[in-house]
Amino acid sequence: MAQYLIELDDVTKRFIDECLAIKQDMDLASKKANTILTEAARSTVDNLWQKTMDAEQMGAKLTGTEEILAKYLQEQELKHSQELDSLKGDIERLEHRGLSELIAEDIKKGVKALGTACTTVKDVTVKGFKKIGELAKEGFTFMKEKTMSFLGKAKDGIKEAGSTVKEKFEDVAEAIYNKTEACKESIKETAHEVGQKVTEARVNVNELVKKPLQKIVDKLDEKKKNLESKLDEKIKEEMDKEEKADME
Amino acid sequence: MSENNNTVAYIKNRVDTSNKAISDTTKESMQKIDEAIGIAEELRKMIKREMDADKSSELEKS
Repeated sequence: MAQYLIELDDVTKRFIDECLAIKQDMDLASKKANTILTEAARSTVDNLWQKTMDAEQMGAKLTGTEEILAKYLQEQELKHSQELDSLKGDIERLEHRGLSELIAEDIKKGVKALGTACTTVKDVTVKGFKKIGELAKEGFTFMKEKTMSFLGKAKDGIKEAGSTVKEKFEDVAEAIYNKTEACKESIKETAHEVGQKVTEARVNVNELVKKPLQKIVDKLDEKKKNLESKLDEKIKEEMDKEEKADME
Repeated sequence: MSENNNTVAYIKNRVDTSNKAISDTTKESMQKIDEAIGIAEELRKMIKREMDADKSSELEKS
């Protein structure tokens, strides 16, 4: 009987070691999930700020164009002031109403995507860890019950039924091994799932933020080029007129 | 800009809530594992007692 007890004690000790390792893995996985979420949030916030700054910078460039136009209008006293007023109106609309509305819409999309990412990561991690904790406890409770039953039977009939007791002890050891492996597998799956879901969510957030804002910036850039080209045309027109007048 | 500040605060809040839920569950699950380890240690004590009893019985026989 002493040999069985030594083996049983060894299995129990190894299971305790496995559980301590699981605790360490869980701690690492939890910290990793927290870091991933914090980084995803930081990246989203940075992205939103950067894109807003880009849009504002573009607005500032347009404001510069507007000032040039206004100065030109004042200096040359052009007849086509109405057309220039209309261009100034376009700039204003783009800078204030359209731009802020589009950015607000984009921010909403980014935040919604991040919110979904948070919920997904939280759900995956919480569900996984709860399962791990329950499995560990279930494993030890199972082990205790089986061991007590084994000891009881061993006391009563070890000499008569040694082989049966040995078989039962092997069943207990196998069940314990299976449960420990299930815990370890669950941790691996959880960590993998968490990492995958957050990466997917982060890509979605970046894509949602990037595309519409790039469109705004492109649109503003095109508008600026159009305004500058119109301004060049008007300057050329004025110069032609002056040249013609000089020639006459 | 205040809209951006609100957005940042909202995002921070969502992330903090999720991180707290993860940390709480980790703590709760670790407590369960600690309870389980307690059961295992209790079991080892029981095994030790059995081993000691075995030894005494062997000594008595000899």
